[in-house]
Amino acid sequence: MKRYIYLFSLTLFLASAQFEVKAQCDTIATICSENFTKEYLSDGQEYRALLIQEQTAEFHLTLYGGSVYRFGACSGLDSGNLIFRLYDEERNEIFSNKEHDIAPYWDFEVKSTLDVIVEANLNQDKLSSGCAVLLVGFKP
Amino acid sequence: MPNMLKNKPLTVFLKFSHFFILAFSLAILTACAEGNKKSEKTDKNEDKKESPKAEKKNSNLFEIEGKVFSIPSPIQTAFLLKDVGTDYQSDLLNPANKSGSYTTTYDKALALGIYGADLGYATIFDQTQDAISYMAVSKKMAGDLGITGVFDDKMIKRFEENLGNQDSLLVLVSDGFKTTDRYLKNNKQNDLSVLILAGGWIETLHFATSLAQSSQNEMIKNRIGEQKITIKNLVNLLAPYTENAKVAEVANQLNELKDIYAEIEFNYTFKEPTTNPETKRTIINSESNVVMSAEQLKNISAKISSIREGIIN
Repeated sequence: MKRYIYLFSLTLFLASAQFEVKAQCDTIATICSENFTKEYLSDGQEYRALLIQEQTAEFHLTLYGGSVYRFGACSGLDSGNLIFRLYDEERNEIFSNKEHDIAPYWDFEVKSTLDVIVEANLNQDKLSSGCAVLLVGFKP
Repeated sequence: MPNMLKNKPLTVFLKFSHFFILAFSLAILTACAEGNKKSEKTDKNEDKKESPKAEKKNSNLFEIEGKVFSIPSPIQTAFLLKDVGTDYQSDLLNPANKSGSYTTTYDKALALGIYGADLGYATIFDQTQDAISYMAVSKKMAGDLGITGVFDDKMIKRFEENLGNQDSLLVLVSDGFKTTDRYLKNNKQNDLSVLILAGGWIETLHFATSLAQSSQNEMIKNRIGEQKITIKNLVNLLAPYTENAKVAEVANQLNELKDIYAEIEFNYTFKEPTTNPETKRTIINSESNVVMSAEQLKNISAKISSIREGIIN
């Protein structure tokens, strides 16, 4: 009988964990959106990934020339938990927030249209697992 | 041997108990995962009837070690169309009174994307009446899709209160679509989320190609050519959900458009970026340009028009 109680409890735990992760991501996305002042419009999407230890999330986006974008990169409830790097399609590094105190947001002024890749990892010194959220806004 | 026989009924009982507990547990797990999705069950079933292969991919909300693809907001191109001096053309939009003709969940998701782009276009050109109509029709589509807490009466009221304040209206529209995206992903309906994005992209390219022909504006033509890189992301975005017949149909059409785009030259040169830590800003100095002939533009225009017609009619 103990085995069945165990199975049942495990199932309940998994269900509640799934719910918990979604709620955690929603909370992080809401906190992250505070990095966006009124002058930035959301691109209408939320990019999320559940990261464990050294896993990397990869986001592919197009940035239009003549635009200014703000990227918000968050995990956990504090800033400095998510390291993100921006590359072009040829994997030339454009930016890394690791060189800037793991800033939770950064602005990008784009001269010409290009495809970019954003790689995000947890700051292992602060978090071993968690929901990574990337938000993108642009200046109209 | 006697012991084994004696224990047999117990063994059978335990097997059934085991099965029962697992089934019960799975039922609870499913119920939790399904959450608020009941309202769209009927339509989903209808969609499944359309094609036996139309099975929704229960992809995880999170793509661990995966790649997430995105396309730019339709609002950005609508701004360009205004900035270069084109006039508002209401005949480019999908008539709001057509909203009743979209019956399946997937058609409604595509229509929501199209109407969302129309809403953005009308708002940017300060067309108050059209904007209200498209806000109302977006509310209807979102409601039909079972999306709660967005494009509702409260949001429409806020929209009406802010008429004349374009910045606030655009924030409402953008946030509305962000909330929609969040809702669908949280409810494992990523397939609908990508169809909304595809609908918005198709409608925006339809605006651009129509206005490029009438205005002959080089910046609009350039924006059309730049979609060569965006269409790759859009096709990749749809790829995980092509088990669904509707998504597969849209993806096939877009792949044909991608083939037309393959003939266009998009040249890119990396240049060292400039970063200013004090302003928290990086200037991406890389350069790109598009080389597209009039014939290629004509082919893109014809294809996007045909894709759009297939969706809205």
